[in-house]
Amino acid sequence: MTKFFGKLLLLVFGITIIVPFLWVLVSSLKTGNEIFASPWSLPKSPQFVNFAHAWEKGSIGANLFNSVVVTLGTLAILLPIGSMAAYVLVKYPFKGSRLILNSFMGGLMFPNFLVIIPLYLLIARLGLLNTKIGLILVYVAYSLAFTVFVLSGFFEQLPNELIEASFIDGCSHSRAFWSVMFPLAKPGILVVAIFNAIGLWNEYPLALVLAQDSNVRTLPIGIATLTNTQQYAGDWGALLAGIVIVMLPVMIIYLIFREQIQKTMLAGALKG
Amino acid sequence: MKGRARFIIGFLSPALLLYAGLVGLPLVQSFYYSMFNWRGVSPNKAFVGAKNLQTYATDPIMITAAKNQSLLLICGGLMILMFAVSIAHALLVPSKTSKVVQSIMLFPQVVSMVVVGIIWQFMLHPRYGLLISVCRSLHLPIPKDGVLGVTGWANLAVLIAFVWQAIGFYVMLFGAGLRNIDGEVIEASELDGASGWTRFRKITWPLLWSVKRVAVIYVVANVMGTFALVQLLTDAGPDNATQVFLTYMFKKGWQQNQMGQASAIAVYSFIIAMVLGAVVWRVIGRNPENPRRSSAI
Repeated sequence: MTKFFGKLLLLVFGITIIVPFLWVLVSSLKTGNEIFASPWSLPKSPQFVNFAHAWEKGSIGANLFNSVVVTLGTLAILLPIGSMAAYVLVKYPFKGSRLILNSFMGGLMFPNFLVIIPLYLLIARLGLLNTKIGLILVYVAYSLAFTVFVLSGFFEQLPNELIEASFIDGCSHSRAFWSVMFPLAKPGILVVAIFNAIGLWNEYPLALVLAQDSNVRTLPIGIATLTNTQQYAGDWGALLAGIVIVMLPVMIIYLIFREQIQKTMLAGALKG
Repeated sequence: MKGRARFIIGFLSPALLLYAGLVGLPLVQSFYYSMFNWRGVSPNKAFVGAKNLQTYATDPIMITAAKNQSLLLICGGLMILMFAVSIAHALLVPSKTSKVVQSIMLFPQVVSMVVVGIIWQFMLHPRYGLLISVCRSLHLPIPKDGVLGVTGWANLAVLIAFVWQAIGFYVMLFGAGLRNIDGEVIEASELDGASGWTRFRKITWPLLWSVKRVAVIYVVANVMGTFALVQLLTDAGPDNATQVFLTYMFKKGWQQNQMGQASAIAVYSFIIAMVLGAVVWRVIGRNPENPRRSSAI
């Protein structure tokens, strides 16, 4: 009896989760009339033209390019400086290193949109409003908490003997890091990279305030803008196609790296 | 020794400078800015002291926002905990269904909050939505402007979308908690004749204390950080009915150009988040086993 109810619960839960996604996916291949007249049926002939419309008229193509640049740009700065800091904080303890590590961790649970006003004014004063580099620097700063947290755990597990051995081989401090420790931490860095990439790809509030101009818009901002304009223009097919373009890459990456992602989420939650 | 110090400074400063400058400094400035009547970009700043803070203590929309935030926290939190614990239990029995559910349950969490907000907005759309077509085929009545145009219904929609988005993470969390419980404890309780509901109430639930604490803290953080979902699902409407702190702050600061007032909202929201966090930590911060043991001695 309990087993039956458990199965039923899982079934209802699974359907509730997946139906909205399937509806968006199927509707993105329909004409506007089909979406309206027969919401449950499959498209008569798949309207791939919706994707072309979203790409060009909805400027999703340009937004996608911005998203790729911002995400990769952030990772290119974040991963080296984050791992450098994490490494020093756990392998070179000094007076205050614990405090610094804790202040990074303090940022883990913090809803960062709370400080958006001073941040906005700061970025404006620096002349970095509506620039990709401004958004990248802010993203690096707000991704550091999680990155340093996970990577410090990773470096902590690597034995100190490895560093000492590389000193004997004549390595300098930084040489020991770049050619011995950094390569060993690669699995951790990969997880951190995937995790951050998903978060950056999805990020909305900071970009909404700091990079609203049409030439720097990332995908989430682009799709939100498109929602406000297309709904009245009536091109629902293109709009839904745009949403698919935003969500599908993340879902695929998630399915590929599911175990690592879940493990990291749990580790972050249970240790933090 | 000198080389070591230089190495530490060199390796640490890029991250530390960015973090201090773009995270730490704005945090401190939030409090300072809340004391000015100020339009942000203009140099005209008038010191008004605590006036902004006073105004917003009784502002009707602020009170609506506080109510909405409590609704999400209490109703949303309870729904999440209840469903997550039950689903995590059901997932312990290995089956094909449980495998599929485990791989899809985090989808709402990993896609952008923007996508979640827009999908739900579409599903509830008065002309094209999924809900309207279901209601039409079942001959159920539906408000003319759609559910998102009616106070109450719109609040319910935000609540459901919030739970739908968050639940997967908590299922995973409680799943890990349940797997950590020693199998022998469960077996022993079975021998003692405790099973089903009794076992859950007396054994499993108390043993989940550390996971419960994490879950409640995450719920508080999730609720206090709610922004994109409301912004895209209801645009805080109809008529401010679904406003939350951060959407209201955004409206004041960027749509009405009142940076000082927006800062006051941010300060309140920050203080409430801190207080809630501290309360949660104190109430369920300890292992329930420990005080009992010490009082027995």
